[in-house]
Amino acid sequence: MLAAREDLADEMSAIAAQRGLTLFSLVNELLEAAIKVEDMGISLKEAVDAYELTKEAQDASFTLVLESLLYDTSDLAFENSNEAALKIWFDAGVWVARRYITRGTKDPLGAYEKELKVFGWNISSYTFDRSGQDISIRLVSPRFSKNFTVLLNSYLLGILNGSGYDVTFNEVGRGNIRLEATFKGVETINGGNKG
Amino acid sequence: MAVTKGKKLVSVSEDLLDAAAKVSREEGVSMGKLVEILLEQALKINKLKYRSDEMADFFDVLQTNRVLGGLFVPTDVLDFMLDKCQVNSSQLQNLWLESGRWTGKYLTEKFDDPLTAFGRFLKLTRWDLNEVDVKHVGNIAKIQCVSTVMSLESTAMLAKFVEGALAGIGYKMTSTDSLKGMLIMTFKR
Repeated sequence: MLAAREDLADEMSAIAAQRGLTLFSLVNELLEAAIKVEDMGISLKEAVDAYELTKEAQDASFTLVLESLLYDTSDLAFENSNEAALKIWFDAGVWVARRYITRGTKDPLGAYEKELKVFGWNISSYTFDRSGQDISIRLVSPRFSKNFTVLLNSYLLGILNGSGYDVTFNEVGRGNIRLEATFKGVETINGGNKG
Repeated sequence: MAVTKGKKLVSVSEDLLDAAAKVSREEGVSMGKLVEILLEQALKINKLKYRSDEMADFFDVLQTNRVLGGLFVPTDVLDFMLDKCQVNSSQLQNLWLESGRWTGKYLTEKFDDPLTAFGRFLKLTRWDLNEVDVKHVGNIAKIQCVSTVMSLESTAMLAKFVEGALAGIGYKMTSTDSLKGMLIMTFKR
């Protein structure tokens, strides 16, 4: 027998009842889940956080594509129509930023940085350095193809734009992106500025 | 006035206690605190309309994606790129086929039931799919995918990926029916 907070135990009893289980079997199920994910090297909380972010990505109409496939497909698309490809990646970045904002996120870039921690597996290193109204982003991944790096840069430009930043510096090389920007405020629907 | 939350005793299975104690040591918390954390996570899982017994499987598939190098991309960006790539090109079709094959081979090495794992893999990665159904009876496997939003190009490339994955698992395609947003494919071992 283990002692648990009464309010939590009561809520769990309700969930157990909904699923036709006893509290005993539900708690055991939980423990087994925690043990299994711990064997994979993470805590249950980390697994649940990852699931929550995955659901958010799902709601935002993202899909998972194997990276080699994405790089090769991006290369072909870029070669066939580079301006249109850049535009759609840029627009996607703007949309993602605006989505964070409409959900009440005060710092869309911070939200994106948080998602990178869970999903940015293929990025060797990234930094988001803030100083007052300025931000400096550095992203490195030797795995990225040249064209994919350019497209991802366009996506980041879109996120910055949608988050109310003006880009002051941008350097792109294969697998390497550097961006500096200053916050100017997000444009409202009526064309005004909201800092 | 401070309010002290009451405690309730919760029974756990004895054979799980040792393993649970190990988890609590690894997380640097007492057993009591571990139980509290787990209960809080269970409430969160319930709010997300998921189940705790599915959490390990979910993370297993997510880790598989990580190993295989899955990247999140907006679905309409993917559709656009497939459109610009001209899906009739054999180069593009081969890319998706080979990527599927590699995935199937990896799933075969990692999972006892790679077909079921592939079904979970598709459900996790392709949220544009409303329905994923993987059935296997004897040496016959049938894969059915339905989507109300998938483009024709995306459907075609998914078909190639599925064909490759099943080949990697050891199945050969015997029939395929592919329309915009719908795939019905049959395979034989």
